[in-house]
Amino acid sequence: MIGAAVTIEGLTKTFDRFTAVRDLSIEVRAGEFLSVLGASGSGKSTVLRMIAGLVEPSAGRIVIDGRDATRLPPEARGVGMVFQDYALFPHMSVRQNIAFPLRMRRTPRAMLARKVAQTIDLVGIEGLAERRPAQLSGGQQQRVALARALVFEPKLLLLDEPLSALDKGLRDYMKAELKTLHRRVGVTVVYVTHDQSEALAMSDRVAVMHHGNLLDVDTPARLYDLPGSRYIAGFVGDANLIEGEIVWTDPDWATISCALGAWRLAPDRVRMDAGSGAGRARSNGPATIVIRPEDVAVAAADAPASAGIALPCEVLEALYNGSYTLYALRCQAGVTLSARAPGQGDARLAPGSRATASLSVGRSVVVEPGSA
Amino acid sequence: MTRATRPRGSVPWTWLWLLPGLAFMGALFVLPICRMAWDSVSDPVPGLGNYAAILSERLYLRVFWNSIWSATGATLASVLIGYALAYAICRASGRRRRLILGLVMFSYVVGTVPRAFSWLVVLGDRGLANLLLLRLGITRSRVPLIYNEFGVLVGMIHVMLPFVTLILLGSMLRVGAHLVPAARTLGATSRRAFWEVFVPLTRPGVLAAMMIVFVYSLGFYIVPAVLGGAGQTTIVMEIQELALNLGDWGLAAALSTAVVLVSILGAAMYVRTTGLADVHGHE
Repeated sequence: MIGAAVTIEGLTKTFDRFTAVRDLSIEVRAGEFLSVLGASGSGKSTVLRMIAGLVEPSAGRIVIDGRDATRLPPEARGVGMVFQDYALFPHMSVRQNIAFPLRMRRTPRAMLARKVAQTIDLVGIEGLAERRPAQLSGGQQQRVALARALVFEPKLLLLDEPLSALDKGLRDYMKAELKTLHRRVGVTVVYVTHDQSEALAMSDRVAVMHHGNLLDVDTPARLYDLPGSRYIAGFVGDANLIEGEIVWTDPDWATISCALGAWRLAPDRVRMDAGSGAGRARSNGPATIVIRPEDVAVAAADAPASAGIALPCEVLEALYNGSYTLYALRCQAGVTLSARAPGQGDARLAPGSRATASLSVGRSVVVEPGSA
Repeated sequence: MTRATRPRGSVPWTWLWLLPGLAFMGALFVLPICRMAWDSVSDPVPGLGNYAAILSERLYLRVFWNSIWSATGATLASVLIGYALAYAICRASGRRRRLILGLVMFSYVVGTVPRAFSWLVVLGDRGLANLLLLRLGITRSRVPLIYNEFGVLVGMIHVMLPFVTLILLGSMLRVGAHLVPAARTLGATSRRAFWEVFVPLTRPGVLAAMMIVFVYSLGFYIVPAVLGGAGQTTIVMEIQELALNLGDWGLAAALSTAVVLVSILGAAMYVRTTGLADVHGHE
């Protein structure tokens, strides 16, 4: 099956005086797994509910699979949705829950039974069909909710933080399951989450929302590697945010300067006004420089200097995390950097010791200046 | 989930907490009822004479029937009206919800007697309702709205409505907020989502409300006394008449015992159908 394409134009929702979603436009491609990532109150769930037809937009248009769905009631949209709390019907068995959408569509009995059985198979809940939702674990309930949302073969599946109620181990497992399911079924998925690691791991593209605004839509790798704004840099992955300025721009290079030093960057790593598309014409001036912790290498003070900018610093704290160690470093001019080293790191880098931080400045990104 | 282990020997303590309640119920409820049941078979002479008198006297059967009939009517009507009212409160948000709930609670605290008498003003021959009917040209002459079955029913519904509404509202608020929206996304029209998801999930509340209204209505005294006519004499009025005016305590006790038995029967039917689900929660 090919999933539905969804076109959203100028979507706005205001509640009394509060604007939950402001002028949001986005194209969801057929078969795509698109995550809408945002903190609570960013408006991401409202967007999902408007696509589902549960919340009426104040302005804008929603086109699902070529059909204007803006004013259609939810039952006429043919869109599957999984709710955060799964919303399974407690008075029905698993089988009755999954059969519900088919029953609403007056599917003939034989076909209904066949489709329910197929879907139970698809999500791997054989043997639970006669149970009530209350008798299932969180992971099982989620599979039932998925089955119920998929059994009528919708071309668009909406997922509202479906993993947030599960514990961590199960969550990681279900991430892979969902991704596999998406590939097998081919349905277009719009996945709402506040968890950047879920969004990065599963999505073809991620839309980042903040205070009702869509900040950026891009592939996970580009969002992480080239964040378009200070907010995205801090929200998607960890980042050192250093206030500095752009001192010179020409077609090939931008020269930036901050308390750590000055260096040149390729123009595509300057993401001033990335969201507005206004170009880099006025990009000379204050800016925020984004350096990922893994782009800061830390070595004992007497080790030979490596490429890039090397800075003397003091180790404030070392946090061992299993596969990596996180260092908090204080550099010159009082700048605190976070650095990430693979494995256990260097035993000599105990808190209080002197060290050298080497910045892979070529991987840094420049975004608009912060207020702080 | 691991349950916190209780210290051994805690069971007698549990009973100790129950003691005041049990003593209260025993002294003021169970003992008097036993005494009443005893009176019904011993006063004025030992034996089942009082019960035989009830069964042979058509008046008592009719009065009994009156009570059950109006209790049934009040039950059905107040649950129907209360369901709509509770649903409106449940759907309303913020200020509107507080406003309607406040009105419901207000009529609840006013008390039965003033409410019963207030209906005289509204439903009387020269009351508000008749005035309105005449003015609007709906009727040509005054319609008798009190001192009959209708008046009693209106009064009873009015008294029972706050109970019913609160019970049903509690049950409606326990329906998961996403269940009806989920049903809609799965293809149910708003009507089907209501009937197939919302209503079944509020069934325990409906049954609880019905039981309470029915049992409570059987014991109504003031409402039928004020708003009913001679034909609306209820069992409780008859008991009062027998005991206080005619001094026939044995017969009054027998009738009372019969009322208690019918009430217990109603409650038992309720427990059988719901398994007390909404008393100890149904998570």
